[in-house]
Amino acid sequence: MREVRGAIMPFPGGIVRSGSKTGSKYKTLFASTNDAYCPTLRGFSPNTQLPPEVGCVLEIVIDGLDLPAVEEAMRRGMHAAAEAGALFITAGNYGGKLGQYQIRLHGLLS
Amino acid sequence: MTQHLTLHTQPNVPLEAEVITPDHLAGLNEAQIADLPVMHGNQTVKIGGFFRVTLSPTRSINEEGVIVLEGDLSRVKRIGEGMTHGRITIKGNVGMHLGVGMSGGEILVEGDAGDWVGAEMKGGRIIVKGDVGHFAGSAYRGSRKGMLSGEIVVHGDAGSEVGYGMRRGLIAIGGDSGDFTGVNMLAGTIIVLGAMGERNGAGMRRGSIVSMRSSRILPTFSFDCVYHPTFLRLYLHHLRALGLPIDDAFIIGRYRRWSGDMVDLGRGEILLLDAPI
Repeated sequence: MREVRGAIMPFPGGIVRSGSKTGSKYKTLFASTNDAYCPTLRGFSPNTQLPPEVGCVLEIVIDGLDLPAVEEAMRRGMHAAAEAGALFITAGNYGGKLGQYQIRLHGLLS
Repeated sequence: MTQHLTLHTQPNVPLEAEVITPDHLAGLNEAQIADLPVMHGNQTVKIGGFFRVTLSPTRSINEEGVIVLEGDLSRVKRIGEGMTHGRITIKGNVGMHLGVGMSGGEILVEGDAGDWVGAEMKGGRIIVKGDVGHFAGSAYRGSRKGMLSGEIVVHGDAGSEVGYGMRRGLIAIGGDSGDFTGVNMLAGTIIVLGAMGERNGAGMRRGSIVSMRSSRILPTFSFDCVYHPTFLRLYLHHLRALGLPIDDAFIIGRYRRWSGDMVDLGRGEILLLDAPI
């Protein structure tokens, strides 16, 4: 993913240490812990999307100069994750709250 | 000056000695200290009736404001109550209500301590080399909040209801703890290196209860995951520096996490070492 021109992963090491979602239950807090994908909150959160066999979730944020660069980085990332044994791969922009683009993962691999 | 109080007469009934704090004894000479009142049963008596008081010059600035108590003080209650600074060293056992409501300073007990150690304390540190009784760091009956800050470090075992209603701070038990560890906890951290009793964390709202042994979990807790809690390493290194036997396996080990108690807010956690010793 790092070799794709025009795309970067802005977080240290490319991995988000603590994934967040847009919005929270507090009006002034615009982002909060993404409880649906947080293993340590699995027992507490009714929104959890994690099956029991998932022990950790890595979130990768990609910034790009254009859409093709981001798509290429995502494509390479999915292949790398699958080879490394990732159980599931998903993406989201929180119902359009996080930017205007929605990139379908299946579309990238077809 | 270092103030030495040596028990020369064992009280028949408990002695209530809340005046034995650096705050009360600062600047007093032997005679003035011996003249201070304490309750012996329903009688007001003088400290000198039970303790021999001597002063010795300090060898370093660190010894300034130090009170050294010697003898079996298991019938002497409320030592260090409400203290705000200084240090008390107890060379022997001590009775109930040690350091309750204290907000600063340090108490070191080289023997065992009774019930209610550090109940509702607000700061400072209590170190007990032996065992403690029930309700360490707890709220008193009818009170809603237990210890608000500070540290209680016990090298031996603790009784039941450790940290009942605690609001903040750290309680570390080197041995085992009794039933209802962390019951009704509001926040804060309890670390038990040994085994815990039954029904731990019942009614807890927030906070962390950690143990290095397996334990039965209440059905109102939900299993989350197995992971490496980063914050715990900081606590364990701190406790190792304070002399607790922290194994490397505790620091690098993985912990099983449960959320609860769902009968209340449910934002507390119980962490059990995944491969207990």
